[in-house]
Amino acid sequence: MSTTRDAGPGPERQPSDESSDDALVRAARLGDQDAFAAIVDRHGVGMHRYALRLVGGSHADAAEVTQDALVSAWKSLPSFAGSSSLRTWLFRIVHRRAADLTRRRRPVPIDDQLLSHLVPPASENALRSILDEELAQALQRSLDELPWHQRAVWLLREVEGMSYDEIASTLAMTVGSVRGHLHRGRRTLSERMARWR
Amino acid sequence: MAIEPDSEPLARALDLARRADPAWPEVRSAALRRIRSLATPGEPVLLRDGDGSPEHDPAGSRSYVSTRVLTAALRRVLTVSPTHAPSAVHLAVEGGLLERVDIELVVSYGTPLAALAEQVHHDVRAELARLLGAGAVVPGTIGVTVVDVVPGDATRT
Repeated sequence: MSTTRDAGPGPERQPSDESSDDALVRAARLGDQDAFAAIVDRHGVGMHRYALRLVGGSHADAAEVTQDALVSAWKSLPSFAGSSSLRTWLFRIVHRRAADLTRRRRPVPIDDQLLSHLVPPASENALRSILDEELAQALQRSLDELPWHQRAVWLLREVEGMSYDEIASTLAMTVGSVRGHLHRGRRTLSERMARWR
Repeated sequence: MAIEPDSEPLARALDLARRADPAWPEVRSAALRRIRSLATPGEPVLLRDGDGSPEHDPAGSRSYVSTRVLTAALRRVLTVSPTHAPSAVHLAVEGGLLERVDIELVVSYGTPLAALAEQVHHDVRAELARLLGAGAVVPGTIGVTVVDVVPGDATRT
């Protein structure tokens, strides 16, 4: 290894798709906004999707929750101890922000126009597109009627594909509680969506 | 199995719910804009010339660099090789003077540590001299600690 250089240390190695979460966190903690943007690109889609379904399908609320969570994560990175995975830590922040927002606001009717964003327009099969849109709205209505923890557990398991351990870490509950909430959530949703068969 | 076989509508709805929301790119951009606009706290560090004097002219003019700028600069010069990456940079400032620099490093398995430490000392000292002036860094005020050893590229692992 060379110990001295005539031309300086050379170009900085930029974050890439190959960078681990740990490496991105280390760089972001030291103020590397490109590294944080890579974290956002890796986990942000799921955080936003989770926020959207958790807050009843409101795009405005989901945007507020997701943005607040990302800003909070940026500020809190120095205190992220790594005792949980970055992913579960980020989803925990989203969950707390969504819970805060839900507590602050009274329930309001869901704007079906907003829900229409869920389904991209179908050029080939208009009927399928309409059915999909109605199906998506039905799922959101059914989710909204689930108790908060059942909704959260179901979304993290079925939509985000988290393990029971990851869900338990995200929601600060036992794996047994995760199983219980998931079982009840699945049963209720299956019953409520049955009329679409 | 997450979905019962007879729950075809639920399975279809779940497939739709797993898609990325079309509003995500806008949310992403807005979040990153907010983050870029945040002021990161930092302390001013006095620039000094080659003989250690902080004053540029007879009138006593002085210049400062924020520790935020110094931390970012040190991160960059320590992220140029797969052998090592910074995990933390601690800057001790007293009365506007940089008293001590402590660097924590993650190192790739198999890297000769003595040679690496020498190189890191050299790179940190050179960067601080470039930013703060040749008299800003007293020999012996830079500490380097290896806090983790990882397989492969330390900047990516």
